[in-house]
Amino acid sequence: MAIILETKQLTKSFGELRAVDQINLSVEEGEIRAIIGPNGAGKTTLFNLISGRLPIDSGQILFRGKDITNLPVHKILRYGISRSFQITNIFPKLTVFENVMIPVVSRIGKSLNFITPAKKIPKVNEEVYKVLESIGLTEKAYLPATALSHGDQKRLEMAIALANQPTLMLLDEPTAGMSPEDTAQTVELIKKVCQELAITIVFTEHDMEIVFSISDRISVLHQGRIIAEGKPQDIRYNERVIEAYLGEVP
Amino acid sequence: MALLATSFNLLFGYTGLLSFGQAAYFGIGAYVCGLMLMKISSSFWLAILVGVIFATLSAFAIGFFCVRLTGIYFSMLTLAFGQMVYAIAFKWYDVTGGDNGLVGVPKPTISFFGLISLDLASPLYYYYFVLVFFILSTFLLWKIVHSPLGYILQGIRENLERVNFSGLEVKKFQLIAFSIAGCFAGLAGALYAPFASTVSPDVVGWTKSAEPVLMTLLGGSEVFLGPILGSWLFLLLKDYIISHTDFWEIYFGITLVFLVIFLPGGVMGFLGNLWSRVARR
Repeated sequence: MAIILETKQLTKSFGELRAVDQINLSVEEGEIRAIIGPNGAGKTTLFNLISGRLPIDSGQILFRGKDITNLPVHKILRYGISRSFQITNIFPKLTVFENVMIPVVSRIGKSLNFITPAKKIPKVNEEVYKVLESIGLTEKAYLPATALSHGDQKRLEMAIALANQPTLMLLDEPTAGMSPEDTAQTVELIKKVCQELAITIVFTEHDMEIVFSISDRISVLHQGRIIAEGKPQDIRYNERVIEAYLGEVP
Repeated sequence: MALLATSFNLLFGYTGLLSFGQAAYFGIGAYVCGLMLMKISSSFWLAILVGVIFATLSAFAIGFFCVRLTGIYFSMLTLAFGQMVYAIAFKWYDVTGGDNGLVGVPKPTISFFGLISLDLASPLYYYYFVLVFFILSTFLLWKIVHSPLGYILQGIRENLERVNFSGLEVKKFQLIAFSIAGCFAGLAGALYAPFASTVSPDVVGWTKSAEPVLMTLLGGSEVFLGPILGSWLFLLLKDYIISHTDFWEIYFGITLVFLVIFLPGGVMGFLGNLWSRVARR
């Protein structure tokens, strides 16, 4: 399998703290990769660096062999890297339909059209409903985003990320704060969608059950470094991982 | 004035940018149009066109710097640029007439393709002429808000970062909104110049810039027609209070304080709420 995402010696410090410390990560096309680690391990910072939200200190990020280091956010997105956030990041006062419409008009190059009513462009309608259907929000298309439950808002955010038609999705705790049923449903959804659309997924998650059940490979982050990497069964009993989570083993 | 307020609201209500310098583009439109009519050509069409172009270009140039900042810093910079335009209008005697302003802007006669000509010296004709422009521009702005571009602007108001993470460069779209608002403010100014027959630096100053802000707050920023209603209310209130006292600003201020506290969505927002409550019953 070809490598889709690669970071080389990626480093980012906040003052004295090395949040991400010389990380070499390589993700294969089509895999589901979990990034786990205790709070403050640098998971979100890593996502922020890859998606261009934060400038990096040193190192390199390659997407399909192309250097995307320090490109502006919207350009990285155009390459096909889309993301969701730990804290739900949607357009609260707009409807579900309008939420998804914004990335759609952006992608199909209609963003500078200032005359045609947006909702009457057939292509826009078609694309928005395609995304809403795949995520199961069609019936709620005309509700304002604020009226949705927390689980639906998280799914809406995934819909926004999907509307960009990414080839790689970075999901930062996609099930954070969800009820158990919601979580199970969302996990199924992630699996289904990325298989159907051949999207590579890199995600962070605190719930170990989810991590072990859906990921192909797991990278364990601790204090800004990758301390272990491998298949779920290898990670589950890895001593260094257990140590990082439970503290020093005497 | 309603046009100025609506153009301002494209920035404030839809894009979430609070500009304190909207009078600058109104003023540029007015000055350029007035100068055209006085010194260069008697064609009102040409004067309006040149006025609007100047206003749009200056909004584009000023916006280029302003959109680099966010929140209150953005607003302060628009104010600073607005005052710069004011200073130019005030000091550049040879061109703007300084504190006297442009005096005696002629009321033009317009002709439609040489077929019919209309003498705008009559206030009634002038009123209808402006009304046509107003309706056309309002219609165009309405189209803009409901277009893909319009939704992107609303997206920026709601969540700037998510727009960025939708593959769009936020600053570019803020600049577009700023230029469009400048364009319509310039049009409002160009239409104002011959009507008032004088253009003084007052129309560029920051008290003038505050007017669309107040009108929009009064009428409601989240409803498209809000600023239009707001501008009518504003002028009505002003006229009414002025006829009773010299200190109209005090009373106007008090009214505004009450409105903002008790009707945070403006009069239109209030009516909208009321309507949806009644409709639900």
